[in-house]
Amino acid sequence: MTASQATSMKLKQGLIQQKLKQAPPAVWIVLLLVVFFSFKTKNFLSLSNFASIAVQLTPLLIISCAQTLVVLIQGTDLSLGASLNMVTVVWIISLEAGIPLVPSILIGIAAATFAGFLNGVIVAKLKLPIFIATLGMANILNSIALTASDGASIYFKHDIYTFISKQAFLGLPVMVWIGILCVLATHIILTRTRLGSRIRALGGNPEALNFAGYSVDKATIQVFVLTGILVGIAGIMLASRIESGNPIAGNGFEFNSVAAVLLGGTSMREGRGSVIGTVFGVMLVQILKNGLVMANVSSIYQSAIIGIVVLFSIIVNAYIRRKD
Amino acid sequence: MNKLRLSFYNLQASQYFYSFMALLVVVVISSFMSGSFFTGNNIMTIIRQASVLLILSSGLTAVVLTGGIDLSVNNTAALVGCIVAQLLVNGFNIALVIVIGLIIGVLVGFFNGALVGILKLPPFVATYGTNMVVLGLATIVMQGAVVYNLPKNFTPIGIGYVGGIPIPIIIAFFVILVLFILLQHTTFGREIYMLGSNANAARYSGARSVLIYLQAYGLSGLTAALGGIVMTARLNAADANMGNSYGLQIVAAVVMGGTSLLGGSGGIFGTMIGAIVLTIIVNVMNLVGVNSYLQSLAIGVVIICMVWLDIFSRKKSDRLSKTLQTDTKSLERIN
Amino acid sequence: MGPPLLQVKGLTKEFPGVKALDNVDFDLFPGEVHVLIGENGAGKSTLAKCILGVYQPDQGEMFFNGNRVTINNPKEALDYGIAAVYQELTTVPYLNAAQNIFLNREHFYPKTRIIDQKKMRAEARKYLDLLGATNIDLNTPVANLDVADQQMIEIAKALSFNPKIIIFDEPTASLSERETESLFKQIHLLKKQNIGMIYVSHRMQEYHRIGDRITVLRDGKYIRTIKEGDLDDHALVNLMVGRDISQVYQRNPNIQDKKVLVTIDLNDQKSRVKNCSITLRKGEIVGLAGLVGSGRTELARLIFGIDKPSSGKVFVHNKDVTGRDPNQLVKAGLGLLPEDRKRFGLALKTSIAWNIVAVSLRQVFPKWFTSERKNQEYANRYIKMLNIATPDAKRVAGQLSGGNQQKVVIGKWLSAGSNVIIFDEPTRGIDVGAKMEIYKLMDDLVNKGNAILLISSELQEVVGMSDRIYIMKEGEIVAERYRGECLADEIGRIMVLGKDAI
Repeated sequence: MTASQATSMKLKQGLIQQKLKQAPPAVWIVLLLVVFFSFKTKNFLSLSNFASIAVQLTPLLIISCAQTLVVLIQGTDLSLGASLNMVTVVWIISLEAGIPLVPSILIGIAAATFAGFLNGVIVAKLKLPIFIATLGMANILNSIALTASDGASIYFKHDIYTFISKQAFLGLPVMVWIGILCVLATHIILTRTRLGSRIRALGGNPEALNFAGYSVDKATIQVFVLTGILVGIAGIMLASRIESGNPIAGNGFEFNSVAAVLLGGTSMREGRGSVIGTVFGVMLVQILKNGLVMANVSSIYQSAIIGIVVLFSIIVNAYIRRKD
Repeated sequence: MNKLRLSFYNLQASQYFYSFMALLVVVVISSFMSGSFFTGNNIMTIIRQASVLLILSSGLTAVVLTGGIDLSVNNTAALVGCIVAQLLVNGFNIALVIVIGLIIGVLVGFFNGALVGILKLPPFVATYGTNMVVLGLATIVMQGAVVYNLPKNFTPIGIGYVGGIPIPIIIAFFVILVLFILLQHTTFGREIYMLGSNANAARYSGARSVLIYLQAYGLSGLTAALGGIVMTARLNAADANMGNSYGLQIVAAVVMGGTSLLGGSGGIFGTMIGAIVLTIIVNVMNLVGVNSYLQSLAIGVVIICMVWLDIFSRKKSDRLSKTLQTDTKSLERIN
Repeated sequence: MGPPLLQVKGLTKEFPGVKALDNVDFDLFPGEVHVLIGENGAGKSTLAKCILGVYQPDQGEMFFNGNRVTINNPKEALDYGIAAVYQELTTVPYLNAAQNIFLNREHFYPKTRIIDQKKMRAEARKYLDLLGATNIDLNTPVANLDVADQQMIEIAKALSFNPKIIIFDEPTASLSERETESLFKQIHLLKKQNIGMIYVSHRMQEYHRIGDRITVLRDGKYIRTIKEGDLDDHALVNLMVGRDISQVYQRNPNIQDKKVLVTIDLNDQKSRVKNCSITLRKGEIVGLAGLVGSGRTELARLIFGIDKPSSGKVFVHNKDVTGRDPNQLVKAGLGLLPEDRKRFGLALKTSIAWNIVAVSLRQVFPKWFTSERKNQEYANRYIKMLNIATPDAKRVAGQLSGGNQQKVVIGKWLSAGSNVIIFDEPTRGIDVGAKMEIYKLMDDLVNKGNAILLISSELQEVVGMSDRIYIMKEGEIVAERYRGECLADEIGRIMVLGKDAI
């Protein structure tokens, strides 16, 4: 067992009791996949593999935290991938332009936060359904990313990349710690702050929020601003890993994150679910991807298989819920 | 003069008012923006380009009328285009290949319809997922390569003429005609409008919504397949990502045409206007030299504005009609 | 005695087409429980909601502690110290009890914005224990608690505002004996703290336990206020129901012995319908009387196939249709005029013509192709037959008045050839003239050999029109009466008291 596994095990121990009662499909499927792939490929159960899985899944993990929030308020944010693209491009461009490290990181995060804010305003004030608002926004963000990068990846050398993606603290790279922090922060916000309770109300019974005297519009905008901040952080992580600004690197994240969230047990209709479940959902998606690579499945087949498994899991999830 | 006024009022009352206005505005602005806009050549290009978009978005109109959405049209078109291309270069009979392609489109549509109607998945999640899967399938079919040099008896579908009119335009015309009849003059179309206007009332009238969803999404898949075939013929090539060039334009065409995402209002005529308007916007941007990335930004903005307009005008008319007669709901609270 | 805590003078509230409150006076003293009673539509809830700021009265004045006030929204009511325990739950399903009670008022750790769950739970526990709801687990999301517990949480929430006035709207509807006792104990304690309480309820036994004064409303009008004990149950019900049940409509029934609809021990999946067995014969109008919430509409939905039963059987024309979908019930001959005709009966933005053929589409257009012209012609026949007030069939249904909209819905089922039709609150929100027309329609329908199941909360209507009445209370059928067998006020009494009245 790697240090990373041990640490994450401890984190989840107390919650495991609670979750075993109502474990979402993701938990079982993850176990299944781990068993399956460890038979299929030699090196699956190795330390280095798990470490690389952890690094690979961090951006998706953070994005999925953001998606969890949106699903909780009965929507899905289809602009997360595009926002991710934009952040990587914006960040690298600002580094290229000579802006010092910390301000450039802040610029990247601010850009995503502003995009989130716009999403929130369009949904709350213009009353557009969340999926169409974010779909339109995705187009806008993608074109910004493509225009700014001229359609190609931008490379720029900087020490921060290796610091974030390879430098290890207590056995885990910095990136993974940041991912864990994001998960914890989201979890704390959801369970220990007023915003979290408002999010549950928005998803389960918006009337209750009105009765309690808080504006539904305001709460909606806050949710999207929060997603923006998370996407910003994820973007920095992703760019550090691929060491470039890439206008298409984030494509598909929005779909995979929806899958991760739904498989993790968060429901789209009642305000039920938690980030912890999402973590398992993300693990499922990532292990699947990783396992396929290790099993030497050609990349031509990968996206189809991943898409099919994810869609299948969503279907199974919906079917089980209907039985209740 | 009175007759003109009357027809103007009729137009204003019709649901296609905004779309017609948009068309006029866009045409006027375009002719100012570029001198080469009103040339015969350019107009021909516009109509030919619009015809593919129209074919692709016609079946989607039926789906949106039920209050749903189909985000898998572009990649279904790509998948069918790829399969058709591969079969053709391997010598299969062209008629057979086309039929196979159409059936595949319908099957994808049925799959979507089942997800929405039976499993009650939200349409945008279900079709977005299908979109990804279908893209993956297309990648497998093409093995990462591009197929070109298609048989000479196939390509006329995209670039040929009959009686001086480009074939894609003829096909598009027929598609519009068929869909117009289907939606406005058959019981099938009526059921779609009923489901979209008020799904609850449809249920309480004994409507079989599962069947209607299957048919509507199946239709969307069918036209997606047809569009993919025409696209492939035009390009004389196929690759897995060829759906990307249409992306969100397909949904935009339907929305721009005044068909409401909430269901129950709109029609194929509007989609026709919407497809033309969208194509003009893209065309003008090309003429003026705006890069393609900014084009999709424009489309994103257009969609948001059109959907907002639709929701905004609905809310206004709801408020108006409420003051006109008895409000049953408020009476429920009286106890 | 001191000044009243709350005083209401000449309160009037109108909704389009109906006067919900008509010049009502009411007052409340500290430490008293003032019970509000009346039958359905009497105006009890409207009065409560005016005081709570949910509605704004059209005329009249409200005084709080002697000062004139206007209350524009529930938050302002809370500021004045007026809290409510509603019938509909305002809980967030996936938050626990403590989080629900203190929604948007959660306790923080000092100087932070992090919620102190311990402190919040301790406070919540305090209020819940006061109510005797010691069994509610504060870790469970409210959605997993049963309705009784959820109601306890609502009450605890009201208490946590330390209100001066609490309005209870049917609070014991889903409580057990034990929980009701705790509630009463708490109410007695609240009385001692000089909190004034307005208690809306149908349960007579409760008035005796906790009521100090009782005010009767009827048809939006103030009838009388008495001190608890001044009048017996019989007299109270008479006040509620009124003495003059004039003949609503003269009917000459033509009932045949054929059973067209039979349900046997029907139960739904949510315990709102319990072991209901009814029979409907050809040519009959059978009424379903009961208070709001007695399960009548739920029974209708079970019969029609919208909801699926957990046990029991449904037969239409001797054919077993238990558990089938609505389209099969329609094929068997059933029709349903829903309670909320705008939401479930019509497509408001669609023309009258298309609404009328909504069910009979395939019969009117058997060759698959439809024609606007033929549709209009067809619809015009029904417009004439039903006397629908519209220049033509092209007009959208949303523009018609309530009565005409209802006629369109009736037309829809006539067009479909339904011979067993459930009318759920058919004349709600309809003016007198149209009401009469609908009664005549119903009479003509059954005389032609059809059958109608009439659900109505208007006692005069259900008694006047029905050949036979089933009376429902809390999901069960408690009695069956024939036309002329008893007076309307006895039916009213059974509706309110249930089996105890017999």
